[in-house]
Amino acid sequence: MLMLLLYLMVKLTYDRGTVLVDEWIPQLHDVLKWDYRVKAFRALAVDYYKIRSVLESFSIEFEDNVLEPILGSVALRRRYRLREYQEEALKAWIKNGCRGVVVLPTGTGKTIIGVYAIANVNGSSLVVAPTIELVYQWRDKLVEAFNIDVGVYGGGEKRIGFITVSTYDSAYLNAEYFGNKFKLIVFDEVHHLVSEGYRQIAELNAAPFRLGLTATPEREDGRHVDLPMLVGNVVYRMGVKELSGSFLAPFKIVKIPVELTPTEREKYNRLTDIYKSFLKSRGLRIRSLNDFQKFILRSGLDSEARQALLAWHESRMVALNAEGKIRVLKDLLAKHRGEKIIIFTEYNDVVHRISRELIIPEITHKTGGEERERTLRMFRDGVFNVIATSKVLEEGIDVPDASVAIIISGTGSRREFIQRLGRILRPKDGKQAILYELVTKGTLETKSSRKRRKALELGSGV
Amino acid sequence: MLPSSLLRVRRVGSNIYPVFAGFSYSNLYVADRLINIFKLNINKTLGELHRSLEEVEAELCDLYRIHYKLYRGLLAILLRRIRTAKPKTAFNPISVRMMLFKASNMMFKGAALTDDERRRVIEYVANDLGISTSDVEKCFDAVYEENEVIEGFEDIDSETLLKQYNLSLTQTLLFKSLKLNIESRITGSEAKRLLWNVKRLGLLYFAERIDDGLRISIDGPASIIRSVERYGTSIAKLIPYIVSLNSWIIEAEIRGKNRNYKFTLTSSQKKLFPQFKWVEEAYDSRLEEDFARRFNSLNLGWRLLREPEPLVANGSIFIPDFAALMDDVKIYIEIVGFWTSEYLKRKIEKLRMVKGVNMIVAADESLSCSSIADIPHEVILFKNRLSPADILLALRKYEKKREEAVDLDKPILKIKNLNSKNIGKEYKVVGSLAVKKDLAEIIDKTIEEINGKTIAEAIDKLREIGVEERYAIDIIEAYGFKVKWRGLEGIMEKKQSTP
Repeated sequence: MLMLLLYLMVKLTYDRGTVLVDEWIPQLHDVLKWDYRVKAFRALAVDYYKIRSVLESFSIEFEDNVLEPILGSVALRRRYRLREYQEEALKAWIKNGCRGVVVLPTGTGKTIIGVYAIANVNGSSLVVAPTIELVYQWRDKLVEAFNIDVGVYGGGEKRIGFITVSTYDSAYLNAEYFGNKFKLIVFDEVHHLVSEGYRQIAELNAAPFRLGLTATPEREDGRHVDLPMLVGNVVYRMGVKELSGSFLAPFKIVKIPVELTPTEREKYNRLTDIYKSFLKSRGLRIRSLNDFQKFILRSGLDSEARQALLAWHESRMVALNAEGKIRVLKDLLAKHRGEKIIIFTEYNDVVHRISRELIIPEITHKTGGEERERTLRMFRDGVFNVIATSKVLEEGIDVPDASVAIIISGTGSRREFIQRLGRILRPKDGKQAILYELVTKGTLETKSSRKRRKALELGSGV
Repeated sequence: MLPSSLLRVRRVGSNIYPVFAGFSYSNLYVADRLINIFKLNINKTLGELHRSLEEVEAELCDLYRIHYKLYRGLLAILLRRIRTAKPKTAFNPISVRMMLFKASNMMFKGAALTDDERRRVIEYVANDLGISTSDVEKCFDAVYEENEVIEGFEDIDSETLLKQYNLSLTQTLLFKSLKLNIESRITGSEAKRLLWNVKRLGLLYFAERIDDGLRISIDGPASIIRSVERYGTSIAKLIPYIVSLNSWIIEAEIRGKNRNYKFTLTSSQKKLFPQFKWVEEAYDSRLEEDFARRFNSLNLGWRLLREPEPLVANGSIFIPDFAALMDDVKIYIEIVGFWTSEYLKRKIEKLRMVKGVNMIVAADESLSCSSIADIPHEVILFKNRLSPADILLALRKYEKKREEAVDLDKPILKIKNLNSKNIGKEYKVVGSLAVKKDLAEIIDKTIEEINGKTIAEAIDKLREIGVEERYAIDIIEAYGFKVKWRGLEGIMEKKQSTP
């Protein structure tokens, strides 16, 4: 009799990012697939939560060998004073079964919500963040909050712990390994998660509890519709405008038009003519990112297209790196001497040039680990007042007293703009943040600038 | 493997083809030129190398009609063959930079905004360190990649470079693959290597027997649920093992932007790719090889073959340790290590799914982890060391019942081929054999000489007096000898009671 019962019991096991189920469960027909290779039913690990709840609600007996969570426990060393909106966000997430996305502007203390989520679940937890700087920042915060040894994946480290912090890249590479070791995953800057590759971090993981944090969940490619499946619904949302002045520093944005020099103008026009006449001769019109990609695809095919692409690229370089911008930059640095300033550009060689000419510390994605760490530490500690960077630091640093951002060049991306702005919005007594945008007059850059600034008008969590 | 921006493909309908680099005069010439530029830039900086490459790009691409993606693809491969080092500087460049940034912050509250301010910062640090201002500048620049010095270049010839390119190009295409099918007349050891890598890379396979070998389809655990590119990189890593096989067809499903494409490649294009000679893994196969050699040297009628062609059971590939061959009979032999009777049963169960195949499983009695009662009949047990006689006994029942013509001139015949009339007059019955009386007398006189000899010596002795090798073991057994294994050799030993 006992043997019979055991035989009928459904068995769940974990296999490299998937769950194997040895019996057919009709109620799970949408997640289970027969795998002829191993002669069992298989589901993505993300559906483990669903499989369990269906089995439980139909009182089907099962033997569950899926999770092998790292053992341990945590307790907060001290209670942080949560702001009202942080408390509301946390409550909404818990009420939703410890799943879902919290949308709050950069600099409003999303990390502390993550800390409380981990304390609340009190099970093995994985935090995934986009850059190594953010990984270290999370690690430091978690060590401070829980006084526990925190594992790190990324930047050459590979150490797992009851609480582990990983870059998205490392979590992608180790998805199968991480897949059954955690009860909770916190995705910082969760908008990254839905890309074709990174989504597998969530899909191949069985963690039943999930928290996504971001200022900007919406993506220009529309993929954010998959977030509910991967992490859960948006459970709380608050924008920049609602919080500015009270929980965020008050800020203003100043756009400074820059003239091309006559030689630059002549070059810009000549290059523009080349690709414009090419587009015209082929009947092409570039209106969106998608059109542009098609253009690039085509350009691999003939040398005329290649010339046009090179011309387009070069004209963009002329506009983005106009000589006048360096002059304006110097003026602005003189005006804000002594204040904490972050300079953003699109290209590494411009960062190098600024660093070299003005003797300013720089961080690009090519900067080595040692220099990167020393530079950031000294910038935070106030040994350096000014730092120049390309795209690396957009999501990477948390320096409360930085008050000036100078955008020398950028793309039309709203997210990029919001993130750059967010770097100077940490509240501090009496701080008035200011963001300068240097835009070359009479070039395509004016258009990009207009496009990215729409971010401030949308109510999309901004 | 190349950056995906350098992938060159042609799409025709639902098919996709990489644009391979053939061994045309112009391709070989461009490859040679590039290799030369790399050689000439040894001991120069990466920046200098890139500048000399940029100089010739337009010439080589336009004059020789080389697509710039091919050009840059070749570069990508060559760049992996150089060894670089940071330039030598008087002080750690990072520390010098930190000093400079600190100085500009301290002296000018942030940045040096004029040429004069910049000069003063540099001089300040130069004084502090006791070096020249140009040395300070050198330290500042030393962190940039373009200033790294090329210390060495792993030489390559132009044809091999093009072959490497073709391999990399194929692998780059396969990054986007969802599934890979291989059809090949693959040998046992090749299959073993391939499947070992399939496992190592976290992939799954399913095999089927086809007319001419095997069809193996490869993808990953989650592929059955959702087609994911995740396994493309791992699939690509299998390609070097496949292009080096004898004959093969590969077929892959490639994810495109809006639709999927089919990619097919066959061994007719094998010469486009580098051929790898894999060093045999040093796993413990010497014992098995040694056993096969010993067995075959005994000339027992059966020939033992190491790692025969792979078998397929229910989608899984199985490579037995040996195949024993006699005429057109083939028996597979598998030797197991630690075992339980449960394990043996499962193993036999699995083997039974290989239709039309006979299998013997040999298990070491001393490695049993459970009671040895109740083991399937295909299993033979041995002690410590498998002997050729153990295997031979198990093989006996598969020996073809040959309709041997009764040739009464022959000195030895199998009894079942004779009628009893003949036996009495001219033959003596020895076990299952009938031996002519004069030969039987010689055997009677000399047989004791084999006591204490090795099997090989015993068989030699019998051959001398006119006993065919294939009957030797029967004669030895019939006269009450058994083989006792001492170390590496089987020694003849007389049983207590004679027949």
